[in-house]
Amino acid sequence: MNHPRHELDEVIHAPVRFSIVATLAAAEKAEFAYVRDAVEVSDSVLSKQATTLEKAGYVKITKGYVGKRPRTWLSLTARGRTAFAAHVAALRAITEAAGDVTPS
Amino acid sequence: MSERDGLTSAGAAAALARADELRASVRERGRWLVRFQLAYGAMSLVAVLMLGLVDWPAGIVISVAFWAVTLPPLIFYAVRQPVAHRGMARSHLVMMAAWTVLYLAVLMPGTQMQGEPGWWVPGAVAVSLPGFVAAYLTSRRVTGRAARP
Repeated sequence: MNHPRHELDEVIHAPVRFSIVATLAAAEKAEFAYVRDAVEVSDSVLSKQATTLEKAGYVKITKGYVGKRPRTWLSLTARGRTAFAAHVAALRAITEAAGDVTPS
Repeated sequence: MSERDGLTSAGAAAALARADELRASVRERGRWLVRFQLAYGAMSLVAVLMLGLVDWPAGIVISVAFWAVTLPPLIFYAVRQPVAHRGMARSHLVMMAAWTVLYLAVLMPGTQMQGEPGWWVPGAVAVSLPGFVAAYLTSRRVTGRAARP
């Protein structure tokens, strides 16, 4: 049970959720539409996956207005950042264990 | 067997590469802050020069009017941006704190030196520096030339 894959986070591991969290990890906050385009998913898919991440305590969803236009912002919580860092460390350990060159 | 149990090293490497790609994309989109900070530095330079070198009270009115005309569009530009790179809030706070200290340090003694280029030109440069320095540091950060966050 020592293989690094056991350290992977089940919530973050799903490809779309991983991309959402990876995007938010580099950002203080990001608009819903920006994340949707970056991750290349539909509004409904992003909404569903963001809600899953929110329920896990990894993502904070904030609604507001810019002028009269409604906007939704996504940001990573401290718990989400910690979980993502651990997940990335596990991914690196998997590639290193296999002798691969890890991306920077 | 859960989904993660089937992850190969190639899959892990692909996920890491995707994370790098997304981080680079966020940084690129975060370049708006460099433009914001450059504009703020330039506006500070012009506003302080007008305040100090144009006869009072006209200089005061022109300087305040300059801020009133230029600042709202700059703030509107900032709030419309879809993404803020990580660390933006802290760097903006530091820039504004330094700007406030320098602005007051130039203006308060400056009330006794109206029209003196020897005071107001270096003073305007000093007040513009937080914006320009912040823009330089942000530029390094979003282009990846500085240490990672």
